[in-house]
Amino acid sequence: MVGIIVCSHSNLAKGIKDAANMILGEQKNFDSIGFYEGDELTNYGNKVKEITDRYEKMNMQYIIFVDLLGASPFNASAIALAAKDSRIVTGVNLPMILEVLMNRNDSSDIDALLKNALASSRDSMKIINTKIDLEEEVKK
Amino acid sequence: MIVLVRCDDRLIHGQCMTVITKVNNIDNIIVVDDFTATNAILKRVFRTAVPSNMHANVYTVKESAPVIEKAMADNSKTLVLMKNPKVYVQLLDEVQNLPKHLNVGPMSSRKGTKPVNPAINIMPDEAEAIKTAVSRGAHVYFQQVPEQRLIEWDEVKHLF
Repeated sequence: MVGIIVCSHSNLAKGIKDAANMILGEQKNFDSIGFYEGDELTNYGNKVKEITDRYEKMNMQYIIFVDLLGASPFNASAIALAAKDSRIVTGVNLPMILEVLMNRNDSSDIDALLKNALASSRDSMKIINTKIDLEEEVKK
Repeated sequence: MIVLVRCDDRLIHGQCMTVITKVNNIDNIIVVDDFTATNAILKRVFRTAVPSNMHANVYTVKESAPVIEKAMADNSKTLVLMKNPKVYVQLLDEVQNLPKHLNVGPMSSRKGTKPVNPAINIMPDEAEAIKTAVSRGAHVYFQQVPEQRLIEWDEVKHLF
């Protein structure tokens, strides 16, 4: 089992966590940390560190998912985990998190797990033209 | 073959597509719902909702019988999905040797429902249908996703 930590501005991380728990059932080793107005970078980094330390003590691997590359949740996480062999994934979204949660038990190779999750998350992005696509569908 | 027969009053949705179809390696979904099957827009939306490697179609109860019988005989892994247990009882009459297992998944909270758990809410007429199904030899159990504890009808029948 790989620990999952979702980091974002405001309530997005909590929302992704709640949505994933609603779809998959309550998940263990799954945390979210929101960065709110007035929050301080070091303090946020410490929250990240607190959770990753907990996983390290249990000898568990973990993955950090952040909303935006180069933004505070990313910066704070990257600073907090500098010099460690950790993985931070940027541009978190629900399909990506669902894929990782569903496959994290079967995979000891974190990089392979992430490669598949990112590929499937890309596949899940589509533009459906409600007029054309749905009408084509009915002709099939 | 029919891998799973399931009630879910939202039919095809996130949980169904992300968890149920993957855990069961589903390649074919038969939705049985008179209302959806006779509404062109709803039918299109549900057919579009599945990825290209999976096949889904929506049928009325009457239309579904030969389709289910064919799926029972072939090698594709099929999920039969309906909105409520009343449809299952109808199918017991229509389909010979219909699998005698019914998974009741998410059922919304409606006026008059009683909760089996916060996500599964049952109307009195749905409970009656479950009783009929059980009396005809079906194993009826409640579970949204396989990770959650399976609740047997016997554990909750006193509620209805």
